[in-house]
This record gives sequence, structure tokens and C-alpha cells, in this order.
Amino acid sequence: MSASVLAPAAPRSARLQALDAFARDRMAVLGLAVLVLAVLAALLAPLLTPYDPTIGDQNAILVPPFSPGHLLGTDDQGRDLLARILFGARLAFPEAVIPVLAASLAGLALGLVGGFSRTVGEVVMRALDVLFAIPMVLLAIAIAAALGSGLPTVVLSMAIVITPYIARVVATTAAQLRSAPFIEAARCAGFRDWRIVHREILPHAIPAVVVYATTNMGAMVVFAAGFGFLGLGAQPPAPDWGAMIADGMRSLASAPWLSTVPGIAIVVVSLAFNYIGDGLRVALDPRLRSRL
Amino acid sequence: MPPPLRSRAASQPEAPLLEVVNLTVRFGSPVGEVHAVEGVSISVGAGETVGIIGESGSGKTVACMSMTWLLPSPPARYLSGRITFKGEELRRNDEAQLRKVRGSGVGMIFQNARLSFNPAYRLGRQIEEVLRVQLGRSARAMLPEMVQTLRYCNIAEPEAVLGKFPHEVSGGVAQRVSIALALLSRPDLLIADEPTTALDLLSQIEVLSLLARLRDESGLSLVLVSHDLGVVRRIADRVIIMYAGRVVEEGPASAIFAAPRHPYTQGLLASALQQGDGERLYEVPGTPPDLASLPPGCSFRPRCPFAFDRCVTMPELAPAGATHQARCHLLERATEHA
Amino acid sequence: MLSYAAKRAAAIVPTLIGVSLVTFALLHIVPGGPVVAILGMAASDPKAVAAVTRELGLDRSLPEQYWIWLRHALGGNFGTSTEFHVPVSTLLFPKLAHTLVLTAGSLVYAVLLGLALGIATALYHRSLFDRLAMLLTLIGASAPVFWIGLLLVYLFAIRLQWLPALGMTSLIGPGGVLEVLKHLILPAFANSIISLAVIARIVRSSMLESLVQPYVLAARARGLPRWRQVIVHSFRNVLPDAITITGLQVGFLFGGALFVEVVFGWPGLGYLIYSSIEARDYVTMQAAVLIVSAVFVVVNLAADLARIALDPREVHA
Repeated sequence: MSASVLAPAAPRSARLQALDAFARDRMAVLGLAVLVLAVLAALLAPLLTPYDPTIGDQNAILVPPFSPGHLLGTDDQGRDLLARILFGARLAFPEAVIPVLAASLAGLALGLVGGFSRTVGEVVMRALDVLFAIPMVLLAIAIAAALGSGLPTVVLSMAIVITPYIARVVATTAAQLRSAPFIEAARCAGFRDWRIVHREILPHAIPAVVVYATTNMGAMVVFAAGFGFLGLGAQPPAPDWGAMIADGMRSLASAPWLSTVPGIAIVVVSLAFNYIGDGLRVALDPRLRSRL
Repeated sequence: MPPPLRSRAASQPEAPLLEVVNLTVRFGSPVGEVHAVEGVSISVGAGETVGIIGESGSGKTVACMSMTWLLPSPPARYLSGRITFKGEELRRNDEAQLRKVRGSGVGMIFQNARLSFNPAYRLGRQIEEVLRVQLGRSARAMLPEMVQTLRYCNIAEPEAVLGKFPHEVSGGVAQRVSIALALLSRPDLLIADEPTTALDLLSQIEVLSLLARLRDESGLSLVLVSHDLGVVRRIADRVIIMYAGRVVEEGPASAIFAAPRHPYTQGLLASALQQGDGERLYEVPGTPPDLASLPPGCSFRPRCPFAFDRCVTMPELAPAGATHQARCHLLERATEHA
Repeated sequence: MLSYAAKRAAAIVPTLIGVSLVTFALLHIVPGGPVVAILGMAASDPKAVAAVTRELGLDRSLPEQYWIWLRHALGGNFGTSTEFHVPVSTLLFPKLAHTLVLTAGSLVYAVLLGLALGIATALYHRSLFDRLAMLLTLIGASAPVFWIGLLLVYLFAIRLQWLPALGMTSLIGPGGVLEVLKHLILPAFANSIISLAVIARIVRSSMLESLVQPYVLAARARGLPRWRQVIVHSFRNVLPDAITITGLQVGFLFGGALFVEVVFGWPGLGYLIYSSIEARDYVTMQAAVLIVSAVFVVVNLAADLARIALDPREVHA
């Protein structure tokens, strides 16, 4: 096959090409649309439902889904499930996003040191290796349990266990760049290390972190729900999706929707994130495009 | 000591060993359908050595690989073609028949021999696997024959090479091992796809002289694909020139090299002469055609110094001598003027 | 190869020390410090506080405290459960066996189904089957493991009543191995889903790459049957990838076991951790984390060595 067969019609900027590839990925676009709707629903929750998510109606206990007035049914305290799901999204999104943001900052700092400096870096990376040696979920739960339950604890312990993963992504990028010709050139030109890191390495490390964080955001939604399920997250009567599944467990035989509905909410949001992540990863890595 | 290969078969010119008739192969691609091979017919006689020449993208590799319907479909799309081997038609969906032919009738060696071996297994194990599946014989029973054949292929220490992984031997050694492997199944035909292109100069000479020796001593039919005129000139009896998926000229090697009739062949020979023997890449002026959007008419027209009004239609492959054919409107003009 | 194996094996010592440091620190981040963590309610009793302070050297420097704790742990003394008032070690080891059985069962599902699905979807790339399988694995990987567990319980135990959901008590119960297996089917499957999906996706993408390698075409040209091209040649080169990812999955399976054991009442370390969290029994939780992590480190070492052994290019590199 001649080269001209595969050459693009006209050279375009890499960013535009990536955007174009993302836009052509139907599932990624659908994921983005679902996510935007979910965020809007969380923000507009009080306008979308007349019910209070924490106060039950004693006359409407365990109403099954698709009943008039209660689209998704009610729980054993007569609380409207749709209202709890909508208000629960206000917990679920921050619970997934804040730890990732915090870990991204910490991971960038640690990863840049770890990947760029040979001596200090070695120490930092060895220390992070230890955290990889403990199953992530287990460590996070142990930390949260030791610190005491509640939303801030969950966010903190998630951030702690995600940080090494992000630091590794950054360190890999930084280590690859460390010996790149343009870094050598910058060094020869007499630039100081921090300036090289800031000007030359950071612009490469940040996209890597963004892709990594996005592809793993779906898992974070599920991860956060796990704390709620174990009773470590936002405390009752807060409408935490994970805690709702745990509450529904008691009446699984008689009212299976109590556990099913919040689970579906988690799957939808997490799936949307995963499709966006996939689309982003493929869009930014042309080699992957043929494989999906 | 040469391996017990069959003596040069008494060739019957009427019944070729392998015959490809009107083969058309295309591939889907993001920029449109790639017309890799268009209506190609090739026949290989028993004991004959056929050289196929063309630049990359001329369809020569695809044509060769299709001789045993080797390319998986998809991505390859076989639009037409009939292949007969030893008088029997090869049916594209008959895996059992094809496997037998691929294993023992038609041997194939590839451009990059090291990549044609699985990196995870030692060479000996890969040879044994093929022979066990082909001939149903145990490794121990085959060892003497394996060693003998490797030695015939100029492998100095066969036992040591059998114990090595593909990445531990040179490209030249790997190519000779792959030839030995093909020979061990006693094929009637050996297809060599650019067997020397990926090799250093010394290995090229070694592999080429091995192929020449096989031609002389074994009675094997040989199809040699190359973009290198020198290689083909050295050992081919008959030469086929391909351009943009079509055969543009075909004839005895002597005739083609002495009096090429197609402007593309003439260009190839001229640039070969200009660049001398040291330079191996012969170039014809102009860019190779885009197989996804070929111009109407003769595919060589955009690069042809002699293009004239008639070239907007595709010329047929026409006789240019007793056993010599070319696909060019100039031939008609020559006969008209005569 | 052997020297590499030795080096790699030796490298787990600092890792284990690091793991023990992290685990040690767990009690120190409990509000109120280790005394409260260890004594629970009894922390109001000055005599008990004095005793535990003396025994564990809690009035000494942190390195000394760590050293005392480590010596105890290495000797199998993980302290006394504040909830059950027995040495943690007597709680721990029977539960560890249960968790290992559950994890092994999940691993079997994840590996067998993951490989089969990965290979099949690669062979039928872009077919309806491929698309459907990829959608299902993505949904599976996007769902909380405890939720999948509950769905399975509802469907197979409550609705269809094919399999038991609860009631697993002991590996050496009256029903024997068959009884254990019957109880294992659902929880192990629930726990395997995410790993199954991950393995299937990695294997699929590696297979897609491997199937178009020249050596697979060459194997075809040499007359090898299709299954040999796919398994002996193509899949063989996916194996190192598959083993690496499987090794990593063991950690997730341990993590998942925590939830699955809660859903299915499986009497393992996960359930123990869950009950110790509820009871604020930090000593038990700490010991369980230490044990699970130590097992995880060893499993990863094994996976790494297996991968190296299977990739001749690595050995010589």
C-alpha cells in the first residue's frame, strides 16, 4: 500500500483531530450527554421532585415503582426513591470527583519529583510502591474506618489511595521526557530544573493525568458507593446511593427495587464516565483507533 | 550432503503446476477500497522459476499470498479468481484441502524471516510442530532429517540453531531456517516473498545462492517476488512485471531484460542501469499510484513518458512475441505501423 | 532468569516492611490514638490503659513502638480483639482460609471466562457478538460488586431458588466439598465480574494485535490448523499480558471479597473486617489488612515470576 493511501487529506492540529475522533465516537458522545443530564438533575433536584429525600410519608411505605406519584417507588420509611436518587447524585458526584482532583494535584507533585529527579525520585517512588502492595479498596476502607465515618473521611481516604496511581502516570511521562532531546537542550541552555519541569514536562504530564482520571472516574463512582454500602460514607438519613443499596438488602425478597434502583443509578453514571474515558483515550491515541 | 529431494520433474508445458486465473483482491480502508490485485493470471510450470517484479503497492505480495488463499477474509475481499494446483481446483472455503496444500504442496517464505517465527518458542520446536502436524512424525524420528536439511541450507551448527529463539539468530540464519522448514515438507512449489530485502548484503548473497542451488538441484518450482531486478535476473526463467495490481508485462527473463516492451519495465531497467549495481532501489520517476482511486485507463499513464490519446482506456495484455506479452497501447501502434 | 527471580523475591522484603509500616500507622490515625483503638470502651479504665501502655511500649518513641508491634506480629500475636475478647490470630486464620477459597473461586471464573471471552471476541472482531459482549463487560465493570451480588441473590436464590445465598459456615462442614462449592458458585461469580471484564478486554485487545502478527500468517502458510494459529501461536504471546493483568486482579478480588462476603454472609476476612468496622474493633481490622496485603504481595510476586518465565525475550533482555 502506498503512503499516499493513508495520508490524511490535509494536516490539521492534533487537538482538532482528537476532538473530531471523540465526536465520531457515538458512545462517548452519548456518555457525555447522559452525564450532563445527570449533573443538571443533581443541581435542579429540588425543582424536579416535590418530595424531601429524608422525610418519609407514613401512608406510602414500600410503594413499588411505577406507582402514581412515586415513579421509582418508596422505601420502608415512605421516602420517595426518585427524590433520594436525585439528591443522592449531589453526594455521588463530589464523592467521586473531589478525591480524584485532590489526588491529581498530589500525584502531579509526587510524580514530577519521582520521575524527574533521580535520587529523591527513587525514594518517593519506592514509598509509593508500598501503597500498590496493599489492595486499594481495602486500604481505603481501613483508613476511613480508622479515621471515623463521614463524607470528608471518605474523600480523604480515597484521595490517599488514588494518589500513587496518578503519581505513577506522571512519573512515567516525566521519566520518558527526562532524556528527550528538547529537555537536554533546555538543560544545556542553562535552565534550572524547576523551570524545565514547569515549562516542558508539566504540559505533557497534565493531559496524561486528565485521561487517566477520566478513564477511572467511573470506577471512582463505584468505589465511593462501596463506602456508603459499608456504612462509612455520609450518615443516615443522607441519600447515599451505596447506603441505599445496603438498606435495601434487608428487604430484598419483598421489595427488590430498594437495592436495584440506586444500583442502576450508579451503573448509569459510571458507564457514562467509562464511555467518555474510552472515547477520550482513543481520541488522544490514534494507534488505538483501529482496535475498538 | 543434499536432502533427498525429488529430481527435476519432466515438465508438461500444457499442464502448469499452479495456475491462477483472473484473480481480483481488494481491501477495505478508511479512504476507500484498495484495489490490490485486478484480474491477475499467473501460471507456474513444474520446475520453473518465475520472478515477479513490482514496486511496493504493485500487488505482487498480495497476488502471491493469494495463491493458496492465504490472506484472511476479511480484511481481504476476493472478488474473482480460480486457482488450480496440480490439476485440482483450490476451493477458498475448503480449509482441510488448503491446509494440506499450504503445508506440503506450496511452501512459503517471507520477507522478514525472524518475524515469521513465533518469538515465544525455540526454532526447533516450531519446526517440529509443523512437521508433526504435516507428517505426523515424532520429534526424535525427524531430528536427523531436520539437521541434514538445515545443513543443506548452509546452517553451520544445526543443533545449536534448533535450540535458539528467533530473536537470538540473525535475519540471514532465520531466512535459511525458514527455507529449510519449507523444504522439510517436500513442497512442489516454493513461494519466496522478497526473501532478501530485509537482509544485509552478505546474507542476501547466501540466501540467493541457496535459492539458485535449489532451482538447479531439486526440481522445485519457485516463485520469487522482488522489487530488485538484479535478484530476479539471477535466477528467474520467466518474469512477470506488475504495476498497480495488474500484470503489465510477462515473458522469458532473457526477452524481458533484453527487449522490454512496456514503458514501466523500460523505466525500471533504465534506472537500474543508471544507478549501477551498488544501489538496490530502482526508481521510476513519478509517484506510485493511489490504489484507492486509480485513474481511468492505463494506470501507468500519469508517469508514462509516451502516454498518448489511446491511454485513457485500459489496454489489454497483448502478445509482443512468441512467449512475451505486454499491456500497452504502444504495441498496437507498432503493429499498425508495420 | 534465576538471579532475576532471586532479586525480585528479595525486593518484596522492603515492600513488606512498608506494608507493615502503613498497617502499623492505622491504629495511630484513630482519633484518640492507639490506646483508644486497642481498648475501645475500656480506655476509661486507668489500670487497663497503664497495662496496655506498658505491654506495647506506647509511652516510648514511635520507632520503638513499631518494633514491639512488629515483633509481636511476626510471632503471630496480633493483639486481642476488643469485640470478641480473644486473640485476633485465633479469629484470623480460619477466616483467611475462607477468603482464599472465595478469591480462588472468583479467580477461576475471571480467568476462564475472561480468556474465553477475550479470545472469542477478538476472533469475531466487530461482529454483533463482539459488540454485545463488550457492552456487557463494560456494564459489568461499571457496577458495584455488592449490587451484582444482590441481583444474583435475588434472581438465583430468592426467585429461582437454585442456589443458596447464605448459610456458608465452615469449609469442613457436614456437606463436604460439594456443599462448599454450591455455596461458592454465586459469591465467586459476583466477585469475579469486574476482573472477568478487565481480563476479557485486555485479552481481546492483545489478541487483536497478536492475530495479525506475521508469525500467525506464517503458521497459516505452513498449514497449521486454525486452532493452532489462534491458541499455540497467537494466544501464547498474549499470555504474559494476561498473567500480568490477572496478578493485578487478585488485589481487586481481595477488595471485592470484602463486599461479597457481606452480601453473602461468607465467613471470611472481608466479613471480619466489616464486623470489626461496625464494632470499631481496630485491632482486628489492622491484623486483617496486614494479612491480606501480605498474601497479595506474594501472589503478585508469583504472577511476575510466571510472566518472566513465559516471555523468553524478557529473560535475555
